Amino acid sequence: MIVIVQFRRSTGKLIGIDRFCDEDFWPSLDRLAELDRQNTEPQDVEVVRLTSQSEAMLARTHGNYFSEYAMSNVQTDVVKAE
Amino acid sequence: MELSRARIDRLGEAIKSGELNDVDQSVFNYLRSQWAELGNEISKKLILEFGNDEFGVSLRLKNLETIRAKLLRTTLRLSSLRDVVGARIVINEGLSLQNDSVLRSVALFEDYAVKIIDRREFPSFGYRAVHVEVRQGLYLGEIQIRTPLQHEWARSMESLARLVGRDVRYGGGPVVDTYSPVVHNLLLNSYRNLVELGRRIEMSEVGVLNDTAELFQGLITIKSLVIEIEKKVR
Repeated sequence: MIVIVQFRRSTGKLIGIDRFCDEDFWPSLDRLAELDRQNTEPQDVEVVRLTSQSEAMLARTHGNYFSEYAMSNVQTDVVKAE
Repeated sequence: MELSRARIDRLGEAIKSGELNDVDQSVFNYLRSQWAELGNEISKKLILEFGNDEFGVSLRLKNLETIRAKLLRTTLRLSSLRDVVGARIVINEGLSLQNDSVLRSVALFEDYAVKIIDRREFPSFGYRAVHVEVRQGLYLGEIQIRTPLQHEWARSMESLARLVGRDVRYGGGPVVDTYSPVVHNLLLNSYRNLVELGRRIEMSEVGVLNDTAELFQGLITIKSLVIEIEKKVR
């Protein structure tokens, strides 16, 4: 799966998350470019495109974006890896 | 679109200056699609090889601002940034499995130009892991291979950096002047503890110390403290 997260560094929380299936390679890149363009606070808001088998796996490798605290403002389908 | 290393590096200069014209922007979009395709290849191979319970595997594509920040922070040129495409493997055991995973990764990319960067031997401001650079023509990617302790240490440092400034990850001191004296001291102590934990992790992983559980607890304590402080000050 492909996930694009918008992460506010100053609060340590996600402000947006987009989920794509593996086949949506190009739409996910278009979305990344769009979010980059729209980002008016690039030093505070990170826009990151991540790929893995599942969101649980992303929680294991990129836990700072997928912790309970980081995701407290967005809807989550995460199944905890630990 | 035909790209050369010189064209990529000219784009890097434009990114650094923050002034991308329409042509630069379309070159960047093309370049990013090439990086993403390389990332896709790397990711597929790694998931096939390592995608099971012993390993966590993922791939991250840097965005324009993080590329810009890296170009400004370092003397690297855009064509030589290897972590725009960054895969990460988190293994569930120590150095022996890490060494084995490095060899398997190198074998997996035998058709690419591959280089091993051992950040256990040469840590980067306390950060330890093994990175495997993967080059295909003009495009570079990186695979970070971390043990659980190396990974938790890196995560703790990332968390702490949100409060004390990202420069701590690159050799700068923690910036804590704006906090109350209590929080100031908590953050400063957490930073010192984290640096010390990094040293102990190294000794623990080579078998000089046997305190893995205590080290994990120390790292978790720092991360929890960061979250508590964030809840209060943000």
